[in-house]
Amino acid sequence: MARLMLGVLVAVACALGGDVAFAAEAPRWDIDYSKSSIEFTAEQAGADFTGRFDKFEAEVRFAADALASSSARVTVPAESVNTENDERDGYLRGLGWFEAEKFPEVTFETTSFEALPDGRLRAHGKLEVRELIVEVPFEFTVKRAGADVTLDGTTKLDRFVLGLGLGEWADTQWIGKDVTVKVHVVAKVP
Amino acid sequence: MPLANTTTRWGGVQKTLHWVIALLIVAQFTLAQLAEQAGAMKRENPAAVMEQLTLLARHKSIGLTILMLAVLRLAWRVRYPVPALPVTMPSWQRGAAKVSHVLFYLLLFAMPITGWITSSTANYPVSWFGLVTLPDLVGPSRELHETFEDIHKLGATTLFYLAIVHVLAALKHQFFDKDDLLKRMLPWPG
Repeated sequence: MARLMLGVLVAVACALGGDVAFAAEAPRWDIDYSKSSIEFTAEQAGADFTGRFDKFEAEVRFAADALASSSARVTVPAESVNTENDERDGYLRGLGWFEAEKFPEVTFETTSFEALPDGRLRAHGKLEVRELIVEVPFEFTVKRAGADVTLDGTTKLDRFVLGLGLGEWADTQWIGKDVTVKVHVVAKVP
Repeated sequence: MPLANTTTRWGGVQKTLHWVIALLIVAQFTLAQLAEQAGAMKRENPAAVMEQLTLLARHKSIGLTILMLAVLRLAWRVRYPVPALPVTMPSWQRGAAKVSHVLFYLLLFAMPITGWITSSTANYPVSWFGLVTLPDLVGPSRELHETFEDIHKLGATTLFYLAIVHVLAALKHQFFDKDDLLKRMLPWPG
């Protein structure tokens, strides 16, 4: 009976959220996609340009004081790439780049989180592009105001490591090697 | 050879600017033509995409160089006297000459600027030889891109025929009228 009551207490404590130290569990984020974005900046012919992915979905459970039980899984439809240029977007969706028809989704799944000394956070995760899985670190900050939470983070990727734009596209003088990804998420947390 | 213009002769600065800009404009037509040819082959030959990208990047860098030289040239022309047209020249020819020269100056500015806008509206920011990235004069817009691309091409056609008339007129003055008009713009003194 005592064990049952303890179990109920733990369950209630968990349900109340991550403030309970001995049973901290990262809460699920309710993302406002209309205010969230995934953008990227890359260099073309010596000049930086910015594009984005118009659609993405993320399952996020996160709390800065419950890193062990935090997780994120992001799914991005490759077809939703948008650099405000139909011709370039066509190439990005096609052969040698995302090949969206054959590989419709780009995914990122976290494996662990760590707190950095300057107050920022870092997630380690696996990025999958065209069935190529690459480990990438993702550094971010989380600001919380009541139930509203805002995440801003970046990661720097090497398009060759991701297998993007090899062969005839490989000349980095004209298509830069480095891609900086910027993520902005606005969500509500219980 | 004196640097500044006099009422009878062009100075070294104006002569240099004249011929350097003329040569750069010839290079611009060549690059644009080659880029157009590469563009026509894009579907069958994907390598043509990179070739066009390279050619257009060079075209834009040289275009910006012409813009900078045009500023210098206009400043110099405003500051120093312009050699008078020969007294033997009938007034309708003087009028035609003035109009064509004003049109040249307008195109020297309009061509690089419309090219710059054409690139910006396609979300292809312009870089000067990979060293400096220029701000986008206008943000991405498919509509404005088409409009300015048309204006840029129309300007090129106008410039082409204007240049032909200019060269033929200079030759007529030199060999038919024998009034030294061409000679005083030639790069060598005397």
